[in-house]
Amino acid sequence: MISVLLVDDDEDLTAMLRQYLAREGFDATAVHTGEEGEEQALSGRYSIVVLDVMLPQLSGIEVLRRIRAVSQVPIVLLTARGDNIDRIAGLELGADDYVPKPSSPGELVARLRAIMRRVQPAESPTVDVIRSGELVLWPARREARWQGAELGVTSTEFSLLEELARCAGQVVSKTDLSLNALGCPLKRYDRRIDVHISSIRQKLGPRSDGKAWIQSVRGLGYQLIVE
Amino acid sequence: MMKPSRLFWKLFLAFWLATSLTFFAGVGVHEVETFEPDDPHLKVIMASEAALLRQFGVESGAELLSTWRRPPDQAIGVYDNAGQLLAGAAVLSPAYEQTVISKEGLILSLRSTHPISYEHSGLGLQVPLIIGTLMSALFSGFLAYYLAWPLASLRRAMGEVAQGRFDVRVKPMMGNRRDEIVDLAGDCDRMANQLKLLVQAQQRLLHDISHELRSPLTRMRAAIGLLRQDSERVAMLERIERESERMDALIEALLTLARLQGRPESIHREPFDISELLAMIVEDAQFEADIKGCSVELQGGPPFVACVNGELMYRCFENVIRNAVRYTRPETTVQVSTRLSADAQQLCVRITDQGPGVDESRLQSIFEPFERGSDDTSVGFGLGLAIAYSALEMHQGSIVARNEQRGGLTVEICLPRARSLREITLA
Repeated sequence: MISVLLVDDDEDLTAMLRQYLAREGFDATAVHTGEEGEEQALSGRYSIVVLDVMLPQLSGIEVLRRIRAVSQVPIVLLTARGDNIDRIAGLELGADDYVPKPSSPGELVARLRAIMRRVQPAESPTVDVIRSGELVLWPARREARWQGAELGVTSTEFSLLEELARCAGQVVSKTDLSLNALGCPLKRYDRRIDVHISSIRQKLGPRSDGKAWIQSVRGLGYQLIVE
Repeated sequence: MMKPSRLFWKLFLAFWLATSLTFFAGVGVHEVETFEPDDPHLKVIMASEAALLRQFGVESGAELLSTWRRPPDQAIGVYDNAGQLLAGAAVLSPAYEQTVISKEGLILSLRSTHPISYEHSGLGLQVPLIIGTLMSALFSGFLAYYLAWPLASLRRAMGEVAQGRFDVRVKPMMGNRRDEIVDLAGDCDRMANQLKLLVQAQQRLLHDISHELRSPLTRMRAAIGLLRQDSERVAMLERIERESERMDALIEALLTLARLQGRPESIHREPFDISELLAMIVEDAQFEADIKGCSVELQGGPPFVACVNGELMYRCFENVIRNAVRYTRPETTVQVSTRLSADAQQLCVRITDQGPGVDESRLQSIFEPFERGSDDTSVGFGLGLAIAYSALEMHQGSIVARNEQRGGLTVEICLPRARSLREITLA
């Protein structure tokens, strides 16, 4: 059973989602305020957190910021449909994905599964370690080291970085990145990959010539530069 | 610096033309006044004399001067270069002297007692005229600029407002000026600000509405998902029904609120007994209160017949009384009391609960749409009091809320007795 934390002030909704998720093989717990959500998310008991952006008092975005300051637990945001600002802000702050409200619980489960697949990769990984220049990735442990130090990336960022590192020096299309790293096909006007990539870029810092380690190739995709 | 506007040119040309014409007319009048009829005569004689001397000689010149019937104070004399008078009268102190070479080759001096200014009608008038015209152009330009410039800024600002940029302010651009144009600029600034507030309120309302509709929709989709998982969960159908009813109620309330934004005369009114209406609502509210073990107590008065829209008044009082029942603590009483004003023209209804009250800072804002207690998200939409407020505004009534010292909230509604539609439109 995968344990899920639901943070949403709508008690009726969370009650129904818990029932739904239970059938789909998730063990869901619900809390209804931002403070409780933060506390529970940091307790280490949950594999994944579903966080509503529109919480009374402490907003979902603020809760996300506080959780990310300490923990890399996968987080899925529930955002209002059509509210792009919350989405981009959420992804920039390190949310792994978002599900617009209202959408079917089936969609939420699909997103949760996609993230869990990334976090818990197949039992027998083909490679133990991926190296590209000063970047070392251990997919089994979801651990990344960069220039000798540990690189704090979210699980989604790790998956993207993994895809890029596997084909280091080559251009990886956004379609492939979406399918392999995010677990869903690329949609039109989907900015998720770009936001995650820009976050990874910041964490890697600039190269000696001032350019970024991950180059965008317009119309094609992204490329991890090899020295 | 902006390009001079069409208005500037119109004003400029109008002022310039007006001042120039006035100036020219003034000069003309002055000319007529100082005009001496003899002067041109003298001038003609002088010119003829000079011509005769040149063409026919001294003799002919002398003939002309002898035949000239001259005014007593005027004289023209022809002298040779030795100073000898050859023809005409003696000119002792010549005001004008002209040298002429006669037909015989003599160098003669033609003297006159009066000045003859050939220049006077030419350059003498031109200089003041040019200066005057230029000065009038300068002042006209300044005046036209002074009037047209603020209008150009105003026009630009209004253009900005039309584009939806409501932050534009014109008055500060006018400096220390004090006149109607500046007042107009102030009014425009106020209008822009008002528009900004309205648009913001509208956007917030739209945001709130979409949020309110989204919550039941999300729950409905969750319920549908559960039904898909297991078609035996019939309870979910009830849930879906409940959520759709909730959405229906929200839309109903919103439409009522929208109807209340219109003009006061747009609603249908008829004489209505408010005391009877209150008794009816209190009876209905009693059912709801019973579930909580509460009661609703009405201290009614004599009939108070007002010209109102019955449905809106019903909703208004119902919303406030049901709110009170919702928030009052279990096992307590909601008091509804009425009081007639001294002149019997106004009814005040006081509804007091024994609940937690409202933060002092929110006593005003609870009458705005979608404002509700932060701790309750499950019941109501926060539209009830907004509807009550708008309904009373439409009936020239008032509604205020205040906290009781011993706990609980009192809402006081005052409603004037408007007798006819005419009184309403006059109010």
